[in-house]
Amino acid sequence: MTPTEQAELVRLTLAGNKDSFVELVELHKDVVYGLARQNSPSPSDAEDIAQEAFLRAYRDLRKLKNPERFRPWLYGITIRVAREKHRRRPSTVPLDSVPEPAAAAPTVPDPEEARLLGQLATLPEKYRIPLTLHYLGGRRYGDIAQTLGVPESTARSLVHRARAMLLDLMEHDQERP
Amino acid sequence: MFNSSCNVFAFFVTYRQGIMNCESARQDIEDFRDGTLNEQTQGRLTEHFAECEHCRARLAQLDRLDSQLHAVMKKSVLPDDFASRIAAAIQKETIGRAEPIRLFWLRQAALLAACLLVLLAFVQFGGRPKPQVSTVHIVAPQATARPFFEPGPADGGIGKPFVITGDGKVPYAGKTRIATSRMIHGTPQLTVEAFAN
Repeated sequence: MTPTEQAELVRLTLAGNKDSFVELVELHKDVVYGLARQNSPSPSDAEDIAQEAFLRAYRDLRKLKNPERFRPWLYGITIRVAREKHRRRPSTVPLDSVPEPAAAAPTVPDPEEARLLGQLATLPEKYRIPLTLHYLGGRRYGDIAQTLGVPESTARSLVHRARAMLLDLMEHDQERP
Repeated sequence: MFNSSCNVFAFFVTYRQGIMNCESARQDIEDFRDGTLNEQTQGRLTEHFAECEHCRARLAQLDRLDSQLHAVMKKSVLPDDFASRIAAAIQKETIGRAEPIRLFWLRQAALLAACLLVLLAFVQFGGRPKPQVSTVHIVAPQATARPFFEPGPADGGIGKPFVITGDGKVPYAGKTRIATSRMIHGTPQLTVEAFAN
């Protein structure tokens, strides 16, 4: 669905059509959940974050100045909700912790992928979020830039740097006895 | 990691053919994958990949990592009923009425308007005192006593006219009017005409 078509759904929602918002939820739920999942220690936390992000987006829909920017705006909300959740429970649920093996097991049966997720979780948030957005959001640097409020060139170099860091981590892990 | 043999090899390659070394290749490798390099740099990097096994391996690693990350991220799946739960939740929600950012600017505009009003009122009613009249030329009929004037109010001007008689100071019975008013070196100078009663 194009940004213009999504903008139309936003306008319909603002006009009182709640089903239009549910269409937007259907459209973005996997990316929002994926983004939340990469920034929370458990699937249930990620689900809470995704739910809160959508509800907050609905309540604050009038704050969205340009409805065609709904997608990066929603991703930005998701990141903020994840940060807030992390701040509320910093001692018990570290945001950067490795995802629970038990929780990851149903969706990530491959040990190599599980290891990759673990390595991804050790990246600083500054790099992890752009990288996650890159893969979940369809490799659009422009969207990352709008979500994070940085120039596109910065978004591009953050993703590049994140990948380089991941490669270094993988090489380091391989060298480790 | 780039090993020393690769660097030595790259040095000779660079020296011999003028193509880039591993360090430069490493800087450009992501842009190469994004397809954002200019034609010349892309050509030099392609030549470098043809010569340097280590950088070729790095490129392959990045491609593999790219596929892995894409696959891993897409595996995050929500329960099927997620959207219907959101649909149920928003039935109880309402979209916020106002936009705080716009409200903020409205408040700023109102504050600015209030300040301007206060400033205007100050200038109009209580602003800078008018300069005191320093010279009053009085033009009066010969037969009429020349009136004097009481000091003006604090904010400038002249006060009520009076004459000195045998009984002392009495209000001037005739009429007076300011005939001319000129500013000379920033000080107003008035010419007042006095008329017999």
